[in-house]
Amino acid sequence: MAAPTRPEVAGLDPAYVGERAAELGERVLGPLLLGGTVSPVKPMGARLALAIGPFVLPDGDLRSQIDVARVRRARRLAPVDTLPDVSASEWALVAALNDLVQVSNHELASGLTRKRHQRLLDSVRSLCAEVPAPRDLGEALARHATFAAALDLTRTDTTVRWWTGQATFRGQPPAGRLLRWRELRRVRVEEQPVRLVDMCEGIAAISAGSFEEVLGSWLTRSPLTDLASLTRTRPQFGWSASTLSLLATVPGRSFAWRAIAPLPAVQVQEALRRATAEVPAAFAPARALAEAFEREVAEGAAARRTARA
Amino acid sequence: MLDRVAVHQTRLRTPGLGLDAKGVALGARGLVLLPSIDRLVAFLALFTRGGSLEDILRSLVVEVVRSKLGGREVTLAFTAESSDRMDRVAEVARLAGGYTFTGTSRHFVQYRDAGAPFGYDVPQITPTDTALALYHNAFSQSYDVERKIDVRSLLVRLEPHVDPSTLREPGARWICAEAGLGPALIHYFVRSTVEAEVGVAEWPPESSFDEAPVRRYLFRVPAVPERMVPLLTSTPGMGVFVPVAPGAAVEVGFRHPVNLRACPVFADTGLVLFRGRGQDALELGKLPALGDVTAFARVEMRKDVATARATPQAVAPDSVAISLRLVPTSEPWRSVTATWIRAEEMPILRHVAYALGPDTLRRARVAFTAQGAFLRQPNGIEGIPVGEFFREVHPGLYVPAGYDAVPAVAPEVLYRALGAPAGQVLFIARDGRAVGVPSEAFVPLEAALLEAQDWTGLASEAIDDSALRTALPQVVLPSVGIRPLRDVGVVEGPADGGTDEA
Repeated sequence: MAAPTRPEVAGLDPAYVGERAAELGERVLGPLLLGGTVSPVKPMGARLALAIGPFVLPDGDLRSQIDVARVRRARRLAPVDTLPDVSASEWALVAALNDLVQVSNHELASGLTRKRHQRLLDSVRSLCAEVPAPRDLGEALARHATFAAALDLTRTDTTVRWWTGQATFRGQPPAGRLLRWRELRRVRVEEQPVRLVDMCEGIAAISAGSFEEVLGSWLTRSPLTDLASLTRTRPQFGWSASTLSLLATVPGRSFAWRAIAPLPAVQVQEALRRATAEVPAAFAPARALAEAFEREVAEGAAARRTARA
Repeated sequence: MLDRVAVHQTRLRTPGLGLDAKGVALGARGLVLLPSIDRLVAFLALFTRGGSLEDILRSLVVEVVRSKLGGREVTLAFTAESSDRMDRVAEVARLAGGYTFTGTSRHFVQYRDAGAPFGYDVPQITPTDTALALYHNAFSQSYDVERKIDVRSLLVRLEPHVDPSTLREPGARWICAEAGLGPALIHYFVRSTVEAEVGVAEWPPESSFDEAPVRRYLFRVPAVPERMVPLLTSTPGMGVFVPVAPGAAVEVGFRHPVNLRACPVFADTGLVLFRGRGQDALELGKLPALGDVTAFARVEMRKDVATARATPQAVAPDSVAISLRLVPTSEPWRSVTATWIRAEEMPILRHVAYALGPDTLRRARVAFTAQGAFLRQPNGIEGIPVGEFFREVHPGLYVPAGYDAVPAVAPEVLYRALGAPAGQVLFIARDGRAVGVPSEAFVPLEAALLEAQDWTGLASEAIDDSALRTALPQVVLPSVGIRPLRDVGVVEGPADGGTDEA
């Protein structure tokens, strides 16, 4: 894995990189942490994402709001009062998330350019492979603070039906003209929330499996976020090098326990059992680590049940 | 001639001039034109007599300005803020022989007076490149700034006036003594048991012929005994100073022309000593470390310490010892701050407790013992009329109210005779018997009164942090524009047919 590179090294104009990073911060990172509308920017690509580096947002107000939101999220797991600024790896992951959402954008390609979706998905896959796993617990906590809400991303698809026809809008507000004279034209509007994992539905150029695989790969870059959502149905949780490294330390296991504590105990144990069974027998130490954590979680859940009783 | 501003007039010709809430023509700044430096001092003296300069000091700029004819005058510019402030400044300026103007940047017009209650406006602006253009009913003049005057350095340079009345002013004093006089003065204060603090201050050499810095002893005396004043004020090399403001003191017998208390330009951490008789002021950027003069008391070592030894021939103290008795006294009750509530009186205390106020409950402290309850209330126990009242004759020693101990020894002696036990509060009963209650046994009455109350726990859900809940992020898919994958490099991946853009 290669560490993020500086713009000069990557052969990019630093001003252009800064401009794109600021746009990414305002339209994706900010709303992701603060709530609101995430409006993905033009696909970033691996080279540009890695060239962002430890970028500092020029908007001081937004920067301080993001800091507060990240600390608030991190304090659910650890009693920290400050977090380091958004790191180069986190910027690369924000860009990867942006590109992943753009993969599901139906306007990305036309009949003659349908390969674009796959090309962008491959770019995200290679970008996730380039971003190193967190080096320490602090970095893991910071990444979780930044991306904890990523799986909460939803898109609203709207279907407008009227007496002679219907129109569907993917992640876009319906045209105002279609909503006029509602009574006369018997207009009905149906809104369907679509989760991040389902966003690629309707894009024929890529399969749901490959989208989930890349999303799973992206999740492994933030092991605490990966663990905090281990009861998800798709992409299914699986032990990765980064999540297992987290469990190798006692404080890391505490963080992991705190991250999964709010989840339903039965589903957590089921997911852990399945993920542990999937660890190949050849990786005996990793499997032992996963089994030990599974046991600890089972004991913790039993203790909580006893305390409640 | 200037135009008078009329009632409800809305437009003014002077740049930067507006109307305040009262309709008075007012700019952002006020300006006082004074004919000379001594008039400036007079203005400051008059202004500080009636109020503090602190309000305008932050924005105050004092400058020497020069007219085209070469005449030098002094201007004093400050933030106008309101017509109330300007009215006061204008009154003082009039008294000091100055003129008051108002404006914003360069053009200043005469401030209102009795002839024009809403102020003045200029009929026509004079085109000028100078820093300042002043328009008055009697003249219009433009000025260039020659130099600035720092208010602090101006105040330091002003020589105090003779004023013998300060000799009799009570209060603390600073005493500055030359290096040779310092030790003698220290011992004088120690011998006379005068409270004082002393430090050694250093000033840079007065000339290049001096090798070492000038050292002087600096004393801070809370109260100088009157008998010492003539000696301290008349001895050459010694000066007594009256603190007149934080960081400033004026020699006794003199008074600074400006009320320094109203001019907060001197730092608390330093000290400026204004000396009379034409001498320069002594400035200390930082006060030296001050210590109690008793630390310099002369120390003499004794050859040997005589130790009293008990000998068999010594008279046994038991031979004169008598037992303690308590006798009724007719003296009025004082310091009745405790009560001894026997077991049979406890129900009364319970009844009375319902009637006690919150302050009494909070302050009273009670100790429960096998002999009964002991209640102490530092403000007086009369509010809790239960039990036998006691008065505190010594910290930690109580005797029944209305009784005196005989023999009539001092309370300290009595306390020592009882062994002066640490951590015990002693109560002497009427029969002379003393009981001790550990100090830590006394707890606030409000904590001791209430029985343990039953309570019912209600299961609650986790605290709802709705205040901190962040809205879920919603994705909107905007148009990706032309060449959306411009920044995405070529990535090796499975081809699924179709063509990419050129």
